[in-house]
Amino acid sequence: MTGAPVPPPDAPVAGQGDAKGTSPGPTALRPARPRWRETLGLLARNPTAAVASLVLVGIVLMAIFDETLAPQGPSEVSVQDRLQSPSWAHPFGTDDLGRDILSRVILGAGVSLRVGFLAVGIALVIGTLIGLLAGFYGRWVDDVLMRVMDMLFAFPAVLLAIAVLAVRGPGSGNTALAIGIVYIPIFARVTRASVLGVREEVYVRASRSVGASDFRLLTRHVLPNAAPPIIVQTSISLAFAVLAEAALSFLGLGTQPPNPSWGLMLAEGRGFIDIAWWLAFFPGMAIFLTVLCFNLLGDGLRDVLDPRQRTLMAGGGR
Amino acid sequence: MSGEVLVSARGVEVHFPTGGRGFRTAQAGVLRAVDGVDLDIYRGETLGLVGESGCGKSTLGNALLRLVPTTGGSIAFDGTDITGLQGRRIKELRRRAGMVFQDPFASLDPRRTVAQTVSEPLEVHGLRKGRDKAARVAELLELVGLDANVAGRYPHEFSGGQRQRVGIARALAGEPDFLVCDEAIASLDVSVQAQVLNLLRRLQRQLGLTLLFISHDLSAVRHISDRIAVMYLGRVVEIGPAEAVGTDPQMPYTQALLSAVPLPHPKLERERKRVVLTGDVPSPAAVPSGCRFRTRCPYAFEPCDDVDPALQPVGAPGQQAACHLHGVVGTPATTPDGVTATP
Repeated sequence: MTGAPVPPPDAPVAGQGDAKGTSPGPTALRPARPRWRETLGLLARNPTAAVASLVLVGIVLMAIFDETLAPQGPSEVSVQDRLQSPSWAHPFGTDDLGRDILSRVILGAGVSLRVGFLAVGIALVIGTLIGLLAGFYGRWVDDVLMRVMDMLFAFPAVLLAIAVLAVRGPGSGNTALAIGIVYIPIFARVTRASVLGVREEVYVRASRSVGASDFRLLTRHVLPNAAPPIIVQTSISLAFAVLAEAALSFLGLGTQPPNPSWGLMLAEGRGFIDIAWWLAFFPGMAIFLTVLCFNLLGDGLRDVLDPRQRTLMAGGGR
Repeated sequence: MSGEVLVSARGVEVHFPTGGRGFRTAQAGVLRAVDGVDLDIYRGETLGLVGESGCGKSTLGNALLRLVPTTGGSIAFDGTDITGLQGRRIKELRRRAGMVFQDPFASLDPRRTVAQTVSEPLEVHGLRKGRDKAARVAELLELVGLDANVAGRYPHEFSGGQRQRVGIARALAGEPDFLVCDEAIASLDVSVQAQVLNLLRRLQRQLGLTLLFISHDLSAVRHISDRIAVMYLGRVVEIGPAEAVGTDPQMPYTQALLSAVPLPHPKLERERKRVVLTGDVPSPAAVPSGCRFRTRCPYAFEPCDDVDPALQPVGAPGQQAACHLHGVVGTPATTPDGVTATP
């Protein structure tokens, strides 16, 4: 009905340039290479992160096969062998009760890691959920949830953990619960901050415009795009959780003797530091190495998980 | 184009509170993004919506799809009032009315493949499953001029024009009747703009779509539209057949807009009379009383201060303009909250 000249109908112009070339087949709904494999591939190119991951895998394997690996039981007391310096028979020396420190470090890995993973798992699930809801819905949901988080956050962490342990009694499981509760606000805040940015993205609005439900928006679009900082935080929190377990055990609130835990061993070795340094040194090194590796892995993940940086690092070749 | 009205807006208002939020701060003022729009969009037509940035055209487009809540008036989609729709019914509206967004670099989820993006409406509305879904995705990609085997790619592997085609394919997946193109070509290279514009035109004819084409680019709007509506400060001030509005505008604001479009002929360009507006667009938080254009209008006279002009038939058949130059028609200002602004 307009008098305007009718232009020629557009010829299909797509497919030129980068739209053609390698392709996963005509009807593939999934990417050629799963994203997590690509992430691992990129991580392998970052030498520091790669080494850190390998060491962590080693520590986890050590914790899994601890009973086979440990030359002695953790509580095998031998009074005549007490406080021996490192030797071929006892590479890490023995403690004041003659127990083999290498065995106890190996067996302690399981305790320390279990507490770390459990604590971070609790904080990750609850904290992320809270942050997701607060960031996505905003308004009073945000106000209520984040004020509760602020209260939790304002509480001194050790004091909070002590309170939890005082109510529920000491032990590995309760230590993990205590540390997990302390870390919930951190995950809630990291998630919320990330979600606040993502929820304003046009692609979230676009999905809403085709009828996607809130649940779908949250699980398919918001959470995946808000995930990188959360993953990095998980890695770094694992480091801190291992430290926190050590600290609480050091204070006598975490793992109870005679169970081996790196923090507890550190505490027990403290009294002998001037005559037998190896009592505290080797568990300390184990903590140091684990924490360092989790931190390095976290840094590596931070670099790799940025989708824009990803293309640059992959060299554009795919 | 038939005579049947698909989308009908009556006195639509979208006002945003300015200042604090919630109970903590008192509401400071009101920003009238859309302020009393009457608009009928006929089935099968392409309606171009033009205006300066900030005039409320995007907000109106979003409001017509219930993506922005309205604060007043009513919107009927295919005879059903959609302003109060909930749950299932609003989901059905989302299937029948789609949107193409301005920035194709922002409107596609970077973590989802083209196939995942395009098939989202199919999944949400349970339209296709399994192999049918993949086939439909391939069909949609070919419909918008993309190769079907790009389905497994991620958005960052595409150019702007190709991304916009993906966005169009997503909008078409649910077989909608109505498509709002919100500045759909504004972020593209000029050479690609023409391609996407022609694609939209072809799709509109091929699929019998009803298109609301929102743009600040008058030439593009004249190229694609059957009718053109001009918005100023949250109100439609002129509407009519594209030819009539494009060559014989009846409202001084439209005349000014048109005279700002460069002519591709040096002699014509030199000889033509330009209507140059002075001053800035008033803030939609302080809309002038009477005619909202009077503060910048070269012809403003007495009734413009007090009477809010209504659209009245002028010029060509089907053409309407809200201007007192064609006779004073409208509602006298009772100045409830009309802020007096002096030119």
